[in-house]
Amino acid sequence: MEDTRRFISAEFIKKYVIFIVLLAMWILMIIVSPTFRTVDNAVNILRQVSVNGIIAIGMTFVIMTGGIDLTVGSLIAVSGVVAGSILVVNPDNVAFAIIAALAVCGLLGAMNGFFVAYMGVPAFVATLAGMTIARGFAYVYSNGKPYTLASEKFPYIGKGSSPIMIFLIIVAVAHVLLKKMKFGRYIYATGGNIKAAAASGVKVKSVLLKVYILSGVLAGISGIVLASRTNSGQPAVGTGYETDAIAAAVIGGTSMTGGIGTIPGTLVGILIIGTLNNGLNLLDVSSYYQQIIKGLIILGAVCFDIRTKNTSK
Amino acid sequence: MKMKKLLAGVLVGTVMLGLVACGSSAEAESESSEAPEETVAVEEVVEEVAEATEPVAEEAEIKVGVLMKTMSDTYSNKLGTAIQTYIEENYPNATLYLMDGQADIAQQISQAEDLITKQVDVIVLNPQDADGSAQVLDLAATAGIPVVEVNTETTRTDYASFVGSEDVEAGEIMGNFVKEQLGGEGQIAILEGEMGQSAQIKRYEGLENTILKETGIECVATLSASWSRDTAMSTTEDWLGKYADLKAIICENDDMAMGALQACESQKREMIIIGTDAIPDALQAIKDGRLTATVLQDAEGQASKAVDIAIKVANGETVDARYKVEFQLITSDNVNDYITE
Repeated sequence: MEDTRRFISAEFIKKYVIFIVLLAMWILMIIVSPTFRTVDNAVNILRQVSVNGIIAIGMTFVIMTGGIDLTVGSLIAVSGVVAGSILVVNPDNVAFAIIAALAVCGLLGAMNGFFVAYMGVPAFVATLAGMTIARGFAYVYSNGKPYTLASEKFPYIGKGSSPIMIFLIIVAVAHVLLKKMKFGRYIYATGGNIKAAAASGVKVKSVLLKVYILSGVLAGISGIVLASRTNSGQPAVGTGYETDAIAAAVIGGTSMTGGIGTIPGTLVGILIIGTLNNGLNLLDVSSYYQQIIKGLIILGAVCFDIRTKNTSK
Repeated sequence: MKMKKLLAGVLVGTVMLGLVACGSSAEAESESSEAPEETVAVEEVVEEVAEATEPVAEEAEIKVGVLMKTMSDTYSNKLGTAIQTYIEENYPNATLYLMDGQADIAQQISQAEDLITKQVDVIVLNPQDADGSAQVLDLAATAGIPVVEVNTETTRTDYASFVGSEDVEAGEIMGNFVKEQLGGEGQIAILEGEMGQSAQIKRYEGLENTILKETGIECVATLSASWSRDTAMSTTEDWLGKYADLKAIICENDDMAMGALQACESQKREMIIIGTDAIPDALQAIKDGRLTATVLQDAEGQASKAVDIAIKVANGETVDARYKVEFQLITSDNVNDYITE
């Protein structure tokens, strides 16, 4: 009797604690800050998290396979400068600029995937190398210089509600991919137990490769949105963005050992981070404290993750 | 043994690459190698290349090391490029080693060590931050290499010379301008640079000397956006919702001003926005009537002065301790004088 009750409460906490944290933050902010209550501010938060949210989705896939992708921050810069270089010469060729940027990012993602899946390099090491290579590439490609964009159409990608739409569409597609498609089941299987997955016929190497390409392309999309938002392609942009993406996935319940994770969880994770940044800005709290608080929340989330897992065993 | 050969091969390759890339009369760094024979070979190659590319100059060759804070924010890039072009055009007998510190203090210090190993005659330092980069002066002093600081100052004063603009002045120009525009009353907000950098500290001091003293003007928020456009944009978005009566945003550089402008435009808010640096897209935005004003930090003026002084120092001539390059206010009235293309 006692055991069943503990089990239920642990399950309950595990499933909903992160939603409760987000709700609590919102309620608190609604009480203390009149601005927070406005629709405009809610739209702001969504728009601001969309850039980080898109890479957090890719990161969730990667972490679920038991890996990690440290290159995403650098890929945001790569995407921005590649698109920027094309738009500077030909401001109307938005489609080509986007395709080229995504192709380059996908290729760099494939490089990560190749080393992780086929060469057996640990994901942390492979993508750490990829991170500096991609950043270096962004500097070399742009000669260290930001591209100032004067395209008429390009800014619409980052304007108004379009980043939010892009983000939410990606969230929806990723959720379906993970829950309803064969590829999603393969990701869970590969992350849960790679040997068992391989034994039961899952082409684990190909799954890994695809997951890293996916993460690369998503980082590319994120880079396009950011470049459009700031109307410039900058090689130095996106430094450290991978940490927010990892944080969002982990806060959202993705297990660093792989096999466990959900897209709605990551969505809540990124909203928690976005609410924190926005809320502390509204309260005029220095950005230095934001970093400490963010760190504490990550620790808290992971501690819950470990505890609930142990209790449910 | 095989390993050593490989190592030596890599070393040779690296040095060759470096030479090809520089295309200059650089001498190979005297690295302590474990394979002496190979090192000799390297030196021969170096001499050949050096002879081939030696500029026809009577005067002794001067090696100028430049430590840039970064080459990736628009102003720093302008400054670095200006230094490069000015040296190439005016001092054919000088060899330039320009290092991009990539906004990382540890990087800048190790690059200083590299320049010292290269035995440059003078170091032009564009400090990463006021305290951290002071260490470069220690390193250079130990090696007996004079340092000319450009654009930003370190906390030290034992440099050979400082060439730059008084950032306090930029702050004062911004403060006075916005005060006039507002007619002495209204709400303002300030976007600060990376906290602790001398440009941030001094530009803010300039604001304190002017607009922040006004009783009619209320500064509702001050936050750091770390010089960057995307952070400035999201911070401004947060402010716009909170402060309906906000009339002006003062930004300590133009990248942040462009971010603030982007945010105000997408929410269709009229705002007086001023930055500093006069980067190309800020000038264009002023011309188009979108951005209110900027303050020009004269990159070319700083670059040419710094190089002139550095060469003098390297030649053992005496120079003044400080050279001031003036700031200028740019509004829609005079912006056409500053757009080159």
